Amino acid sequence: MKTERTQNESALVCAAREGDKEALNTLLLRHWRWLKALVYGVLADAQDLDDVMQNVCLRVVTRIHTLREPECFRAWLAILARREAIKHYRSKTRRPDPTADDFVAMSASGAQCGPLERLEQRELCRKVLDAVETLPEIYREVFMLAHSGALTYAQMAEVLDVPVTTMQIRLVRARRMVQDRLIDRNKQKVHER
Amino acid sequence: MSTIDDKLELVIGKFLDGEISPAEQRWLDEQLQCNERARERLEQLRTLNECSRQAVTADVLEQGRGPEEILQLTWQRHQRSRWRRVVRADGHLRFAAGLAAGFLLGLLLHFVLASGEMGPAEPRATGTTARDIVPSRDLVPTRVSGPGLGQDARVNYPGSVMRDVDWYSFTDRTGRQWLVEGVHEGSVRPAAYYGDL
Repeated sequence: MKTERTQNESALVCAAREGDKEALNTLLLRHWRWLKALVYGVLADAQDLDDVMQNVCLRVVTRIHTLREPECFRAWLAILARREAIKHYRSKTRRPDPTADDFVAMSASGAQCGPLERLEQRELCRKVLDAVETLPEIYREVFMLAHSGALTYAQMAEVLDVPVTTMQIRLVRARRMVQDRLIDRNKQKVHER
Repeated sequence: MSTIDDKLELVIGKFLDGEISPAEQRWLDEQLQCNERARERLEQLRTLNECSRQAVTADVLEQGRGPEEILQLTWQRHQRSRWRRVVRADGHLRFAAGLAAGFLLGLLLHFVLASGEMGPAEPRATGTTARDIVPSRDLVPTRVSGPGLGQDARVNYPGSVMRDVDWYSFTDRTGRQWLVEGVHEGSVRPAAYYGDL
């Protein structure tokens, strides 16, 4: 089943390389979720996400003929998307890449939310995303990919170009960081009261 | 955090992501049965996982324009940029185009100037072809002075000029040389001559 899907995808890539617009659209739609999650993982901001996604698509359209091995399409797409996102991040936002220190600093800066139990589900989601945005990039990327629900662990490792075990450890750490961040906020709020 | 906690979080994460192996599932079941902390951690991570999936989907993946719209815009942009690339050709191409244009202009000037120099010239005698220059229809045969049809031989051309006429010369049996005007292909009429007619 997996092989069939890979062959199908390789055929689509070959067609796209020959200039088949529909094939390229199908490929991009198929990879859309994780691609968008990855770009967000680099940008940590949803504001320019559509613009960057459009740039990524344009890059794919103009560069697809340079892809030699169709089975490497996912990894190739990830590299292209990450480069485009980093380029945009550097040119537009001009803010420093959040590091682990920033994460600690953000945790200590206090929050305006109430205790975890009292938060609405929607608000909690927003807080989770805020916490994700403060993660260092390598953890943010893996967190976003894992929660986009579009890729398996092996595929995530391929996209991130790291071994599966490294990816798993990063994911565990990212989850722990996000949770610690939320708990810290709650503790801070209790202290303030 | 202890090693067992790390392993527990890793296995719970795999369980929540649907990546757990049968052996890990058995280990996790054992932990959940005998370890209160494991159950607590599972609940925490389950809540976090649900919130995270919901947040990523609702606030990131489903925000903004849909993929179809972005793809459509991309293709439009691609079309525009392709035209721009054609118009904005690179340096070498522009240089070559300029060179070719200059060459063509030079050729054109050459031919224009050359045709201007020829102008309404006189016919040349003795078998040469003088296109473009012809005596008028009312040309009266004129006797050319001098012993032969050399360089100095001239014909008077009163009035207007007629085009597409060739000039020929021939020597008859008596040794006289004749200058003949060929008005049209296939028809010949005398234009100038020596001696009495």
